[in-house]
Amino acid sequence: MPSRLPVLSRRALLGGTVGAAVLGTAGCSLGSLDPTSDDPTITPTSGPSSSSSSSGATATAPAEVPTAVDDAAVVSEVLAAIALAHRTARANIRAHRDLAGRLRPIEALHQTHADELGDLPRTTGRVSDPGETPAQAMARVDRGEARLQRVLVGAATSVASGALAQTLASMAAGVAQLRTTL
Amino acid sequence: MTYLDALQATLAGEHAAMFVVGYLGGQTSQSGSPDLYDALRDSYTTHRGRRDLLVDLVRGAGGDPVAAAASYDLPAVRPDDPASIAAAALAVEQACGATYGYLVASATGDQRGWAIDAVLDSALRELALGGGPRAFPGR
Repeated sequence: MPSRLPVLSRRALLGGTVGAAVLGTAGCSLGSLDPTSDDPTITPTSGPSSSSSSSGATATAPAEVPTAVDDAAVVSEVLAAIALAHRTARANIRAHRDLAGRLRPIEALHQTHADELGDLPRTTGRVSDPGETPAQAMARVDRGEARLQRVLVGAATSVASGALAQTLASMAAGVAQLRTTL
Repeated sequence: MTYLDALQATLAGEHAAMFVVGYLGGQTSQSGSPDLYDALRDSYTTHRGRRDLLVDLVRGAGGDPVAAAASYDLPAVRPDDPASIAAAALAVEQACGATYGYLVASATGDQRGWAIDAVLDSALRELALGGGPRAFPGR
């Protein structure tokens, strides 16, 4: 398996001091197949040359290349989204104790993801309703997770740092996996 | 590693994935393990589609698409042991997801968006192959 990136601090992610790790030598062959695996870094490009494929995937360079300052703002938005989803899960655990077994893993995932980026900020607003049935509460939680997944995908798409993009995409995938277990 | 390098490496991974998943499908009984068989068939179709797209992307980026190897190391599985086949397929999917994660890191714009979609798809495919949720699939 590819060597994992070290746990990335927010500073490291935003400062670009951590290069992306070696592309997996195990690749998909379960053996060594990648001829470029000895290359120790992946260099985020500032924008690929325009190209197109039969599938319609077309390269277009962004009008403005995001900066690390923009990345900091994106990370703050992501942390706020994680905090909101986290509070939703936590509030619905309190409101529906029988849902705790299903919602605790979500709570733990949020905390793990937040630890990767910084600290969970405080959030406000109503995130549970005592009158809801457990099914309605689960639907509310899932809507919150779907929203978080969209935020993560959008953030991964927009940040300048390649390592940060990889981490955010991975977080979105983690949320997507857990949503299927709700 | 440049974006083109990452594309080529991802393409090499997809060549390998097709080979290994195709082999695993051949070891799986459609009647005895229909869910696994369907998951492998779906996986093969997906990897083939990604391979074709990657070939186009490599060419579009000015490269000469890396060819498939004549053969690849195959996992030790037994046709009478679907669990071992699923585990091997899961390992393939996890490795591919990680490869796409690195492609995310090296790409921008629409290409990055496509690579992100592939990370998410691989993560969900892991579950169909018996994997459990992870905090950072694709990394």
